[in-house]
Amino acid sequence: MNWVKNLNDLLDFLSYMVLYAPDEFPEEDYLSPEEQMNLEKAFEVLNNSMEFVREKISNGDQLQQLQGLLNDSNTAYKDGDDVKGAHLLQEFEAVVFKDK
Amino acid sequence: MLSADITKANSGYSATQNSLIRGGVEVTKQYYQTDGKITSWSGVALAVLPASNNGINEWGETAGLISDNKNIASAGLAIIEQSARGKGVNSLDWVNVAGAAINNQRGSGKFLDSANNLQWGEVATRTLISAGLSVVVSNRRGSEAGLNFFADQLGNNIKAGLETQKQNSPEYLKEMQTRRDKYANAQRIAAEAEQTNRDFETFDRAFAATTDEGTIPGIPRYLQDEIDFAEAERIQGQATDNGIFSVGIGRQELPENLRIPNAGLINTQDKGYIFDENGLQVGPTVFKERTGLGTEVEVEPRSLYEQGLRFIRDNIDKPLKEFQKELYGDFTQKLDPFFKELSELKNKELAAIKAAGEKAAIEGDYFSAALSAISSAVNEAAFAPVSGLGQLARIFTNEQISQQTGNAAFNFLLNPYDTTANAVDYFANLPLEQQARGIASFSGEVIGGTAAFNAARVAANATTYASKRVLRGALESYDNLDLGLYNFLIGKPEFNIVPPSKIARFSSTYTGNPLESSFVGPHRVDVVPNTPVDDFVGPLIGKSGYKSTTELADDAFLRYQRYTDDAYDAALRAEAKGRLVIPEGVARETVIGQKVDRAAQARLKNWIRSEGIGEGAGELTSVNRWLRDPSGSGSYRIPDFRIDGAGSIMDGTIGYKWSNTPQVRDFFNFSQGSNVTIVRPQQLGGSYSILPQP
Repeated sequence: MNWVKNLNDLLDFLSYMVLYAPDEFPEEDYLSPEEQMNLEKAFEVLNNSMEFVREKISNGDQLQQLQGLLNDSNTAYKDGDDVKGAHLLQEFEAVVFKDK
Repeated sequence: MLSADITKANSGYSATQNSLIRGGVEVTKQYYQTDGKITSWSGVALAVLPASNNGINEWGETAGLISDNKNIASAGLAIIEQSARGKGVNSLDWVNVAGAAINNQRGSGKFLDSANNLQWGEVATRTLISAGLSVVVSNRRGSEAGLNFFADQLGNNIKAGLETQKQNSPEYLKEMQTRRDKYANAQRIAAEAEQTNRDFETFDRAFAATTDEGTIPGIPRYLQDEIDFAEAERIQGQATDNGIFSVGIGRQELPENLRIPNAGLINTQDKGYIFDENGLQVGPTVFKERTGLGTEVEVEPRSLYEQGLRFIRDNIDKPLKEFQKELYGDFTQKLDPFFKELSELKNKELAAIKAAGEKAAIEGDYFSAALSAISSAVNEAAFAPVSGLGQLARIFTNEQISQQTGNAAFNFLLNPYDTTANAVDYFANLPLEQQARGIASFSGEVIGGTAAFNAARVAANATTYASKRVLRGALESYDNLDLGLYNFLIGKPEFNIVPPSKIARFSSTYTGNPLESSFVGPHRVDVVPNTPVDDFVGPLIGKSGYKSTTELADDAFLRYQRYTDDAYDAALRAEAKGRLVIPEGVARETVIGQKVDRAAQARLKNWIRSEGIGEGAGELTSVNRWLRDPSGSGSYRIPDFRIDGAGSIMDGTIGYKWSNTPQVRDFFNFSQGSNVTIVRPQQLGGSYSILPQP
């Protein structure tokens, strides 16, 4: 299931991540066990959503920096530092959606 | 008295003195004839003029003479000169004149009454005599202009004296002292209010720490710390084996004698009630898992209902009591101090609000005072259930109360459409202990054994509704205030068993007053008929096969509600753990509200996609899309969720929106009459629907 199909979806999904990552993703009754959300899938969704970010931000350095934020967040969550992971995601959000 | 004194004293004075005494008599006469007002100072001045006075010259001459002779003039002459030179003369100057005259003549003791208050009327008259005498002694010819000036100024003096006299009256002093005391008291309490707020913050932080969920989700840590969960689970298992509803919310197996053929497992969120042809609820209905609400099941409701009552009577009461006793054996001891502290803080807060109101009123800030009055009324209403909470702890260990709790639970079953507001209206008139019982028993979940937490949660909801009720009562007093509070429904979502799209109107629950908060009459819901299954010809909507957009909207609402509730809990957890970034200058509530909205919408959109249902402009559903003004004004709004085919708009918020909120008004107008459901976390009181004006 592709959770993000445009930038608005990404904004919503980031909040979903901040509230539920790394291991509190709610179980969805319409999804099979293997389809349920987890940290790995969530970052896959985020990484894929960079294609929409590229439509908005063309500066290569900035895109690299944003990708770096996602990577660092993923690492922080995996290392058990969920506060840092969540803060990095919100930093990412603040850059991409500074107009919101 | 004064007039008599002067008249009596008259005979011993010279002709000049007599003329001045006449002036005093004139003052006295006018004073009494005009209820304490001196109306004509020219009259007084003329009365003062000596009969032998021949020439009336200009004021300048008089002033010159006075100036030349000032070394022998009294303090009165000095201020006449002061005025003649263009300098202002105020009442204090004349008080000094009076003081000089009094001291020179007979001393101030003569002018005090038995209560030691200065008799200013007397003083003024003597001043007139004394100062006027100075003028005449200095200038035997007198001067009308000078005397008029003198009399006018003296008039001011007397007026000031009379005012001072009034201000020295025991009643006035007492009133002023009372006001000073009240003001000082208000200031003191207002100062304490800051400390109280700090106490509250400390308390909130401590409480937040204890509500961290710990081992068992949904149960505050402060309670978890006190409960032996291994033992609780054993008891719970035993209770379930004995046919008691399992503890907690979720899927649960119905006891055999309540089970409906083919019903199988049910989800507690999927229960509803059957209505007769008039829309009156006649008994509980249990639906199959994920069956759309409002779909009637082939059962004979009355017998099912009676079975339910019998079952509860026979099977729940005693085992539940035992279960609660074991589970919450020392609950009372632990909870009492907690509520005591809360009550004390609440009392202080209330006192602070009232004091702030009094302070504002004394300072003339009536707007703030009015706000404080409303605020204190709201808080007072809120306080009652908080006090009641203290009593809740005893419910679970008191056998006598247990039976009443059971009785109230039956009443709850009989009237499932009573809103919490109804309960509060009812319980508000009972003694606190009974309130607590009522509030606890009001929760259907108590029957299921989830106990204090849920009871406390219901009590908290009751608090919210009580506040609203009082606030609306306060607003009601503003006769001409059109707040547009029409036709809104308030109910906990679990009581909104009929989803918003199926509620046509609580027609019989209103008294006609749009601000009326009491629901009266038979509790009735006009239910929009379901699409008859037999007549249904398709096509089905989505993978779940909804037979109508209404059925889709019903399910969507329940999901959106659940997603919102989950997100709100998660947001509080995230905040407690420090995960949320709250930028400087942005309110915490704003950040939480945004995160809750967006996280809930992410799940909602994903569910819609999983169903294969279209979302977007021109599609069956719209999430966070523009709703344009059809009149072509160019205006638009962005509701969170719309299903146009069902005439349903849902908007998530952690605050409140009413029919007079511009956004909601536009929702009505632009959608041309959709129902608007404000989706709020149940933890904050839940959702409600606002219907368009007929």
